[in-house]
Amino acid sequence: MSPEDIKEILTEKYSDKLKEDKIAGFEPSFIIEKDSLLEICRYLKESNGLSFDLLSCMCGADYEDRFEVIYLLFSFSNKHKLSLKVQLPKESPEVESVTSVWQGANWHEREIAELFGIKFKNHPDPRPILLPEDWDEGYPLRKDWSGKDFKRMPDFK
Amino acid sequence: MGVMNKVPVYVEKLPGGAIITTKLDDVLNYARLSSMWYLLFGLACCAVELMATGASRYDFDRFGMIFRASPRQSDLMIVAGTLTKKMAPRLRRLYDQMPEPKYVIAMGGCTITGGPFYYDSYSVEKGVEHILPVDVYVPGCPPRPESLMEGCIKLQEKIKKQKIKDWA
Repeated sequence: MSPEDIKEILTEKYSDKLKEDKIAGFEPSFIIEKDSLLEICRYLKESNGLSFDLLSCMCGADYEDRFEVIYLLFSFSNKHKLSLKVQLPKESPEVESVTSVWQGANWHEREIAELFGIKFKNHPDPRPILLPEDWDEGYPLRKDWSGKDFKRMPDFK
Repeated sequence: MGVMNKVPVYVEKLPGGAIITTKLDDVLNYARLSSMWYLLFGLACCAVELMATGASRYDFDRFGMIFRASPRQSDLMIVAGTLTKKMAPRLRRLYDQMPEPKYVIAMGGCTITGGPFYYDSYSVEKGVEHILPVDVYVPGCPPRPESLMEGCIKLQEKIKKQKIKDWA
């Protein structure tokens, strides 16, 4: 299925819950309402035409005014791809876990939760995953983070 | 006699043979520096250079250096590669399990100051000297096998100067 077809199907079905993302390098790409994330994900996986059966990557991002969680999807049967973004407020970033749709999201979400402090609701196993066991210095991938012996690269301009 | 070339000795000719007179310091140090068995501690890309140094082209065996997979049988720990904060307690534990006398070579920029991870890294320990006492630093990213061998020769020179009266 071509990117245009995927865009058409999605905008037709969920026109009020998503908008196209113009700055993404990954075509096609959508910014979706975080409350309808699970519903859209389940549809993307289960509808016959789309059948996005693989969550190939998932990442977090820290912007000046918001957090984002980015989902990169791929379909083995149709060989097409799609990216989704949800935007979360700076204070109390929370989003529904997609482990019930793609099992592979489990460790990705644990990593994002640990490094960005984004909470994933209804996650089956919300333990920390990568940092040292006794880590107590907060969320290191946030832009405003600073640790004990942490040094920012000086500005060499 | 290989020993006589390496250790300062005094040979006395006697009927029926010869007596070698030397210092206990020199004999012990010679034994130690000629068989520095090293603990495999490859953490990152430096480990590949360490392997190359151990293999036939550069041949660590000619220093009497053989890799050991157990800290109980090692005299020397070559920390080869980036030490993360999560790995640091494991490194300390393995060092504590090594029998005395024990030596440490810090191989590569990461083990000296954190190297390329000095800035902007939340996970890398800024030098193994915060965790272990280091005898020889070998800079490079990664150091070539020649540099590592130079480091080992420097360590041998250090061992050669040890005295029994300085033992704790």
